[in-house]
Amino acid sequence: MRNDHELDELINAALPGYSAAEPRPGLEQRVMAASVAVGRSPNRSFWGWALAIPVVACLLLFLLFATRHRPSSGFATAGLHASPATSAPDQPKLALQTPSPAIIKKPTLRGLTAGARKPPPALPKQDVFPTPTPLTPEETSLIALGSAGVQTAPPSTAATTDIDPIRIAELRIEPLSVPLLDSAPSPTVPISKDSPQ
Amino acid sequence: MGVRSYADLQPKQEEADFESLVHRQSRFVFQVAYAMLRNSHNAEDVVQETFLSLYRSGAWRHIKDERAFLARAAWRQAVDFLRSHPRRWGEDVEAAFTLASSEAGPEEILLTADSHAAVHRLIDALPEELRHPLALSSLQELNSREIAAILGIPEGTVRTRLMRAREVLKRKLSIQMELHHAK
Repeated sequence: MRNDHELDELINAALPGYSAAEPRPGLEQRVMAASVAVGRSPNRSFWGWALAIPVVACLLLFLLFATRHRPSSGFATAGLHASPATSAPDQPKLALQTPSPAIIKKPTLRGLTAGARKPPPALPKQDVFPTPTPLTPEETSLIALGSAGVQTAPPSTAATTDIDPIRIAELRIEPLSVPLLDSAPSPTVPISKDSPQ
Repeated sequence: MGVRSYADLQPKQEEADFESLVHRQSRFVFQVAYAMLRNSHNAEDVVQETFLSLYRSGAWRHIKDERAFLARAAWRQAVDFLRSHPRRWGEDVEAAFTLASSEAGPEEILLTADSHAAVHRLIDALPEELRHPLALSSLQELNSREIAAILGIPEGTVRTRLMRAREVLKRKLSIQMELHHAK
């Protein structure tokens, strides 16, 4: 095995040659030609920005106007005119349960992060007060009952219960008999009273 | 009129200054790039790209230490080049030693004119963290402080890595020679 000194010498001798290379002649001229050509050529990035900025500005303006002048939805009027008593039972339910596209909000990142910290914001106020809500099953059945009309009277609940009448026994009072003074003690007046059943 | 002529002169003066910088440092930048890439054509591409990016950004006007700045810029460009064009260092070295063992044996190669080339291939096969400091140290003009500035690591780390790189090289060379003696 060779000693460390010999290996060190070998490495030291080989190491300068590792980066000992000369560029081809004319490197400076090539570098300068390329640099000057790039420096004098029109700046591509400038034209890119010059085109991009107006396009983005127009898009923003369009979005701004589109959100401000959004047509009002037919949700409020549909809810106002839909009367459960006058219309078919299915129609108001459909009108109320189908939300207008204007009410649907897309979830945004800001909304998602803020929603974790604070309670959800109140729904936007509608033109109709009270705000229409979907009918409960009881309301639906009431509408159905009203539209169908009352055909028969509901059966009386008093007739079904069986309560016996209270019978009170007749009072019987016997005529008083006046006894003699020197006779036997006066008899007691028997009063019989039947207890009610 | 006077202002106009001054405006016309200013780019010319800047071009002249930049040309002077290119003439002063292009060879040094080439050597840094070559130490990293070990290919003259690729090193020239890196030199051009280094000076081009300097010219575009205008950063060359505010350079304090030309050599350190340019060496770091060239090193970064070379590293980017290596990432976009990965070279199979290990395969080259294996192929070199396979060829050597089949023809003349590693020690004979090491003892002849090809011995330096064999050491170079062993350096190429080193891991990046050891190869970069060693390659830059092969430039006689760079000391460990300048290498540390180029690589963006402490000077002590550069010295440690240089020592480790040399140890790895010696171990590999020793193994190759042992194998030859065994034959």
